[in-house]
Amino acid sequence: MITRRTVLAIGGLSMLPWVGKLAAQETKKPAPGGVLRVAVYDDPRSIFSPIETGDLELTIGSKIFESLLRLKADNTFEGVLAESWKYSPDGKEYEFKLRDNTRFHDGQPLTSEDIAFSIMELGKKHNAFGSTLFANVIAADLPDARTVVFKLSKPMPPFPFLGTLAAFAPIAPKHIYGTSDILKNPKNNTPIGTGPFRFKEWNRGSSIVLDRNPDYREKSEPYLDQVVFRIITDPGARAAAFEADEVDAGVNSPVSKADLKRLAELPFIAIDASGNKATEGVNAIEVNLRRKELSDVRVRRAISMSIDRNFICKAVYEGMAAPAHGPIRSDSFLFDAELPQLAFNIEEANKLLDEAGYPKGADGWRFNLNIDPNGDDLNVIGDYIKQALAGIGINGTIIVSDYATHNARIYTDYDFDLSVQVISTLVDPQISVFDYYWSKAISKGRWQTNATDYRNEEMDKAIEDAESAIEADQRLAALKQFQKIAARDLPLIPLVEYESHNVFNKRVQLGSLGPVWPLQTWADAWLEK
Amino acid sequence: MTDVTSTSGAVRKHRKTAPRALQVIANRLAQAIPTIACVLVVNFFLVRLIPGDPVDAFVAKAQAADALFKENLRHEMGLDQPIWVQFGIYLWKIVHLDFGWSFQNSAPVLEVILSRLWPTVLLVVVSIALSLVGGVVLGVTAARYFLTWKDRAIAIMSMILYAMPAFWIGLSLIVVFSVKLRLVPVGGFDTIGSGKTGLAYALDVARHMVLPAATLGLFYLAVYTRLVRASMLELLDSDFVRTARAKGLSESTVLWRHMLPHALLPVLTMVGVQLGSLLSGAIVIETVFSWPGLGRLTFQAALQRDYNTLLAILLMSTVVVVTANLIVDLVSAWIDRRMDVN
Repeated sequence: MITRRTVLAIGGLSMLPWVGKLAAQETKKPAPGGVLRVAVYDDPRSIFSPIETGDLELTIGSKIFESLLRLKADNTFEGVLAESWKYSPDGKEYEFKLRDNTRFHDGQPLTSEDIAFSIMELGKKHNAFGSTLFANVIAADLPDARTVVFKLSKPMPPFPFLGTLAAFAPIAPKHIYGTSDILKNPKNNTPIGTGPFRFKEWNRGSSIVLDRNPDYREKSEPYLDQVVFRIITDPGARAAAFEADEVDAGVNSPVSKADLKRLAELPFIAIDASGNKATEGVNAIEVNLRRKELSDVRVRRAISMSIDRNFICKAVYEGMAAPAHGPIRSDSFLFDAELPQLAFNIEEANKLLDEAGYPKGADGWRFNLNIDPNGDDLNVIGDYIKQALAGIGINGTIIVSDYATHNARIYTDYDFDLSVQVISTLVDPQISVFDYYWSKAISKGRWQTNATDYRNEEMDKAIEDAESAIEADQRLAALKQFQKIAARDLPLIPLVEYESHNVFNKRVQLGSLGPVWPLQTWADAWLEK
Repeated sequence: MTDVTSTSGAVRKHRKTAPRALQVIANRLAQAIPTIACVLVVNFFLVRLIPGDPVDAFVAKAQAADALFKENLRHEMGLDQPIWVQFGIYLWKIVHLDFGWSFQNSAPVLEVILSRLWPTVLLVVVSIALSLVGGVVLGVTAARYFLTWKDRAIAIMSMILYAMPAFWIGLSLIVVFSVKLRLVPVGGFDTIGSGKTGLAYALDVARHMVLPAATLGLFYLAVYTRLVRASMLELLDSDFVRTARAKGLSESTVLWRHMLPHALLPVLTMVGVQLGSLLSGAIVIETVFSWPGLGRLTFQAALQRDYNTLLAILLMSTVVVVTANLIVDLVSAWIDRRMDVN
């Protein structure tokens, strides 16, 4: 059974003391009823989350479509649609037993065929992550209507596999979506799932309304009568909506950092810094090693040394970030605590560049580099990096472009020198971090992958060891090796670990708070009267 | 045809207005077709010149993609076809009034556009109407009290309103009227899930529209005030104005009945231009006030390289511009019959 934990840890992991102080909630008896009004920044592309990977689509869709599992704050898993699960010692078979009392919103029972369809068809073929996430899944055996056994072509450790199923594999009914063109199925925007909330209406540009599912598996849940996602595109207007008590919640940093500080002063606002822990990441510079100067590790180290990460934390993130040590965040249980701090040393940086054979010219510059920041905070960081590089005689030019143009420049055309990017952890580094470093992931046109042209057999081995180690200790050892090589070679120069916040009116009681709270079903969330 | 001298002193030629207007409309429509066709062709290739394509934008929003997925998506969107084939398919669909499918909205383009059209039309029409009335009153007042404190106060006010960025005015109004006084909502088109109908619903929408219409209207108000004032001042020394005064007409009659119709001509031209921006001109206002209109949709479509939606909006915009200008020309000719609409 799904267990519920009282939320006490809100803000506990935050980098700012006031966040924890304001956000703590007490144990209270849930009260049914009420409408939870959630501010979101845009219309989703669709609400059919089984084929979507965007945060907005998954946040909304996860109330309608459930997953087999849920990731808990202690990095263990809890069954949602699955009653139990087990895996073979070689990590090539994963078996899930389903609960027997789950029905879709149209009254049809959930069966193992729906699970197989959702992973093998929707996940593998139509999800943007799919053919990577489920690359090793070659078959789904269905011994009975409540059991599904996934067969893998090669071993996969339990944490990334179960994490993938928990975060990126919502389950959809085969009888609805298995009969027509997936992308144009009319039910994509009036979806049917098993979740605690049913789709009611989508007023484009305005709101998406979900109603309580009265036939939900857990009879006392959901507590809320309705969840309304209100589309407010301007961050200033979102902050005003919180102040005017027109919205109750916003996830994934819904307001600017300046507004966040102001809202935190209000007696009725709570701020949570722990519900996004599994999807936060590291801001880093992707370095194009095809460029002669940048192929020299001394130059990359010099660039790294020219950057004052504490300054970025303070000036860009107003204290809501910490210097990064490597590609894995320091608050992850997979982080190698022995990694050294990345130094800030202008003198040493200049020396390294001289040694590398790039002395300052008569004009004071050693060479020119383009800097491609990928929007929002990263543009501000890009401006700072330009200044930092000037301090070591490198003339930076900022190239600002929108997301589509940026992606085409970096991942298709490889037309960049330094790209300032977010490296999201997405539950486990195997899901979204390894590909930035793995030489076999170099693939023109493929986004969020090795665009730097970094090729190192030692690194490849560490990644492949981590990808196939079933025992946790072995995997951790391989991950430590991965982090050491990454910090040594710096094909990506880590900058800061940013913090992402969820903002609430204090009447909102979050229920069980996992490290991916926005993607939870919110069946046990409720409103204090 | 008989020449007569009007009160204003201008020579008016009385024409058989209705058939003439129909002929003008027919001529202008004939001109409009090649214009729209040219715009259609240029737009098709222009949007494809922007770096990145719908697949790049799609995967950017999806936050990931692998090669196979992108390849399948490109095939699904028809982007793997030669550009001339894509153009041919596009033309064939447009001729059949099929605007295609929006992959970024997972819905037919027409459905997406229609869902966002009404809020923008309502917002822009109400804003322009209110500011037109206000602008005329203030402009005429400023001209009547030329170089007095009233004139200067109106001139300063209109300068300030013209210079202030719309997003700043909008956010300031939100802070004062929504957050502090809680008189009107922060944003949105209506109260979500209120279940209101009829008059109650209309009042609910009106309440939501107060701030966005005021913000947009204040900008237009500044424009119209300055235009009307300038036009009125130009007419002050005209023969027909002197004649009207010599005939002993009251100052109000001279200003409102004789001068204003002439002073309105440049204002009408401006209204025509601004109606052309109906489909995309209110982006900032719609963003600040979460108004679910076409402006935001256009902006999103451009960012997301949603070719089908973008092309459909641009086509509609062209049609609106052509139509609005035709209407303005006809109305101008009706006000001042010296004008030859052809």
